[in-house]
Amino acid sequence: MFLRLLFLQGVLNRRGMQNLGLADALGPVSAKLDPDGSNSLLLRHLSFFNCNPNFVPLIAGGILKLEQEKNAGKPVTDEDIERFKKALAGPVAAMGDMLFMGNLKALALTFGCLFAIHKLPIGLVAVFLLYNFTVLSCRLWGIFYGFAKGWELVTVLSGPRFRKILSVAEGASAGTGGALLGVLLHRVAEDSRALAAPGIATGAIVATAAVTLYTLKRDVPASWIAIILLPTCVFIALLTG
Amino acid sequence: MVWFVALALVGGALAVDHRAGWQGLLAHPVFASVLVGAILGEMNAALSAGLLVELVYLSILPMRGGRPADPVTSGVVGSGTAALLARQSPGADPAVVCAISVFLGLAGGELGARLTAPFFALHNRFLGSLEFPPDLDRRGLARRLSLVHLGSVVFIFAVEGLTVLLLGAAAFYAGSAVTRIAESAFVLGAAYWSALVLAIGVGSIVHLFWQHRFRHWLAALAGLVVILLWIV
Repeated sequence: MFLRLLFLQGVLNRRGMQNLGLADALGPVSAKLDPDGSNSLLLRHLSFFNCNPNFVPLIAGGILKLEQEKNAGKPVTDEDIERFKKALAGPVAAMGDMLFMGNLKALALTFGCLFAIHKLPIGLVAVFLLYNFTVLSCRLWGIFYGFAKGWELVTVLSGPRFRKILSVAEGASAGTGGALLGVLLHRVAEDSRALAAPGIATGAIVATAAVTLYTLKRDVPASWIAIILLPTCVFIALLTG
Repeated sequence: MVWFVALALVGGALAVDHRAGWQGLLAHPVFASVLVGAILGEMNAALSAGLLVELVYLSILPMRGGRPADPVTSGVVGSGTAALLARQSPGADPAVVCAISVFLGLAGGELGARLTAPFFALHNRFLGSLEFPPDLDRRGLARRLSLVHLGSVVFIFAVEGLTVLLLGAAAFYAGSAVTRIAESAFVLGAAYWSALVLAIGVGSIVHLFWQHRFRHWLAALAGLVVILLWIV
């Protein structure tokens, strides 16, 4: 189940989003939860499902717990399980996006860039290992934690602890981002001094950074600016050189 | 040819991580460049190109609604071209090789996204149209789901691998042609451009982190590091 959840995004589709991936992940355990050989469990979990992939194991663990309780004769219905999925998927997706995409990944990429600037591939390998250890252990822990908590997950995830973790991650990634920004500013200043006309070069650099920021805020990819700039720079060099 | 196939295999594997897997960073250009550099034996050239491509893509994370053109193709083609050009012509100016490779990597990323988009749209439509007969037993349904999942992963690997093969080869031949005929004006233009790509990186970092409530940390750390580097 853990391995299948790792490749959950492979069957992402607009109609059901992660439904096929979740149902496939539940495949190996469905034999234990549906001992009569019926396909009802898998068919039920083919309904629409969308969440942050790093937190799907948490919900999958909770689903297993509820399915087990239902089989044991406790008052849990199919509708309850569907409600559980829907109640958690949205908020957990937002939390996961903020924590993993917005902060942990940004932090790891920033550290990666800092090591790359100083030509330290070993540092990049260390960042890679640390990030993957965090993500994979979080996913594995999610299955067990979700299974242990079941419905309680809703209360746990709405508590203050998550906000504290997010706050620490935000502070750390902003600080590291600042360090990278400082290194880049220093490098840019040195580069502009080495160019033929430092005054004009500094102006061009400040203008490029400002235009990049402006266009990114309007969802225009920075790669377009970079692609347009090379022929422009060569043209200017031809004129001036 | 062997190197292009190696790059294609790397591209396919990284695409699986990026599109199907747990997104373990390896698909990001700066990390992909370490792998490409280690395979091609030109770590410095690959890493320099990978870093610049990463700086351009840094602020575009999937959660912000946009997705970089195709970071896998960009990273592998950019760093792969840099490493192959450095191997082929050791006397060439490293800054020119880096500038050409980064440009080709970025262009490759844009082109790669447009080349693969119809295939992935078709894949998406196929997955969305799947219906499973209700009379299918549990084992049969589980097997079908597994086959669809496995098939999807193989499809992603194949599409991205072929894209990297095609664009990697094209980028290398274009890059070696430009390196051969590059004159002093081009060398100067490449130097200007490299400085401006760093400026794009500055814009990207500010965009990535400024919107958080810890922006004063960003400003304070940036100022501190600049002062420290100036003193050192």
